[in-house]
Amino acid sequence: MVAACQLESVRKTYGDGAGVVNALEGVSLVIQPREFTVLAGPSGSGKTTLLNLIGCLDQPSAGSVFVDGQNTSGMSSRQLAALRADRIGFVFQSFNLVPVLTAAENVEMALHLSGKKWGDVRDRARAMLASVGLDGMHARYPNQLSGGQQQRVAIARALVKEPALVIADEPTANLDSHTGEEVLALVRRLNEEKGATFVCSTHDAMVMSRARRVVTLRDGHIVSDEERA
Amino acid sequence: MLLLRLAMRNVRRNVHRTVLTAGTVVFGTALLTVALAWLTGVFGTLTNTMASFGGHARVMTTAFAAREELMPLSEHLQHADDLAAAAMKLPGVRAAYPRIVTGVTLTKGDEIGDQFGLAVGAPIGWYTDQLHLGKDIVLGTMFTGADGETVLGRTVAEAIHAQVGDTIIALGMTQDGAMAPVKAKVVGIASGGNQLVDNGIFLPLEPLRWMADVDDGATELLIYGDDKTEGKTLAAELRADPAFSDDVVQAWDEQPSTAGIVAMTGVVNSIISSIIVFVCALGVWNTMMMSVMERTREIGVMRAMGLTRPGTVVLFVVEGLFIAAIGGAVGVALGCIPAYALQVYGVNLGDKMAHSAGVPVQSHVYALLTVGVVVEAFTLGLCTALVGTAFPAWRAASIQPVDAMRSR
Ligand SMILES: Nc1ncnc2c1ncn2[C@@H]1O[C@H](COP(=O)(O)OP(=O)(O)O)[C@@H](O)[C@H]1O
Ligand SMILES: [Mg+2]
Repeated sequence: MVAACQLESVRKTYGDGAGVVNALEGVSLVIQPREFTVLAGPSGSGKTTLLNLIGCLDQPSAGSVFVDGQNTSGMSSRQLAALRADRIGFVFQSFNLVPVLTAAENVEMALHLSGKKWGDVRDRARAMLASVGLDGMHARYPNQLSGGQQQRVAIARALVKEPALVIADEPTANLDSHTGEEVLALVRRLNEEKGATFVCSTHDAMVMSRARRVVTLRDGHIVSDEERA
Repeated sequence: MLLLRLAMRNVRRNVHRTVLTAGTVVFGTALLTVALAWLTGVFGTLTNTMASFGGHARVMTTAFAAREELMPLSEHLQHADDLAAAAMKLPGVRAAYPRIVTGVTLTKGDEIGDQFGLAVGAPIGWYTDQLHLGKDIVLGTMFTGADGETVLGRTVAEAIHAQVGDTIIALGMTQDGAMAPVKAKVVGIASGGNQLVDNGIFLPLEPLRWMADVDDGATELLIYGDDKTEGKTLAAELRADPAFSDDVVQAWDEQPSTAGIVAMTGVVNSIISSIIVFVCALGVWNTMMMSVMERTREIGVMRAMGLTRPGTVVLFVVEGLFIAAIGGAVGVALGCIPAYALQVYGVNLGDKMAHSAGVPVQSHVYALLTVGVVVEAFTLGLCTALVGTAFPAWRAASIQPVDAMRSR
């Protein structure tokens, strides 16, 4: 089986000369399809940097990144964009919905940008919203939704195009703990029901406790990689 | 398409800013409407005057054309009436008139005058149908058809203190250089508001033929079609006709004196339009740039989701064009009001201005509000948006999706 994502001796540096920052050093990691992986580690340990590489938003300074079996090094930015559009879903800490589009339109946007034909885009988006528990809210604008609801829309937006991989950078950081827990429960359920592969970064202990696999980063190195029951 | 819907929603997103952007376009298109209507009016009158005075096309001998500024009578067209008849046989030719223009000294009665002027000798039909001299008569009448009549331009009449009923003597030369006086009674004084009419000494053709001693010749043959735009077609027809094979034929806008003016009108038009478009584009650029900055994150997110660079550009350009279309419609409508007022009432530049211009501009100028003006102003309004949005849209397209991942 092709790994959802595979990193081999990846290094990522920012800046140059005296101001050079080694954000990642020699990171190797394999994430299998249907896995639910949490990236843990203190702030500045390189979680976002790693997610950017997995999400094809950036390219490594050295080493190679495979997404859905494709080597991303040497890809043009156009090819990377096509790969992202088709194979990767994103969930952000601050939701980042388009404020002038309704919940349904935000979800539809992912289908429009995915570069694939989807039949009835509208029905598909509504069904996806229903499965994240937002039945009947498709016509609301983001500012008419609570933070938890907005993050649900964002999750629907990430999943609607059936990506190989969903990347979530601190998805609960902007939510209160109760709402965060609900959102995480949703993510876990979708992971099991739809077989979606998730990689989540967090420094929230609650999130780590829900994960099967926790990869811990410190100063750009993987310091532990635990499977949990 | 969803992207277009998003662009439309973005229009309504920050109403204040959209109004600011649209206001810039409103201002620009209103100004363009007035400016273009004004230029169309001024240049239209100018070129109409030139084409009606100089013929839609004009025939001269080659030797005359070579030394035209000296107006050498000896290089006239022989048997000009036959040439006119030949020209009339060509399709599209509506009228043909032999004409003589020559320098004279003008005196009233027995006074010794030192007033120089250009005497024009042409068939009465030319005065009535082409120069429309009748409507310019401010005192007295047009030619009645009796022998020995003249109509004087106002400036000339004032210079020699001539009044209707006075007898004047125009002292010119024959083609061989001998002095030749022509005596005529002033039947009318004309004021056309331009120097061609106001400086004119108008006589029928025959007295000037006698003065120049050219039998049935004329220095020029003026050809008219239905409209001055036919000038080049008429000229081509004439050149192809064996009757004119030895002569020079020029359309009105090919004549050295007018071609420059016609070219200049185009240049003035483009310069004024470009300045207005450029200044307003700066305004659009400013507000659109604010929008791009404000939406950096959401653009980054959409770029992460696969929005292409061209897609990003389209998003902003459509928004800009939509605002410009509305602003342009309002601006043109607003601009039509002063433009129409200028078309009806015009502006009096004064005779001094008109007479010192070097070209036959009217002293009283009117704007001309045409469909072309409205379309051009509106189109240029859209160009304003295109120019003003180009850079902000390009900036938006270069936003990197990583920016969206960086949460703060
Ligand atoms: N664009 C950048 N330019 C320079 N340094 C950066 C940039 N992005 C991240 N870094 C640095 O790389 C390191 C890892 O950052 P990051 O991946 O954001 O960590 P985390 O997400 O775990 O907080 C930090 O030291 C950070 O300052
Ligand atoms: Mg981070």
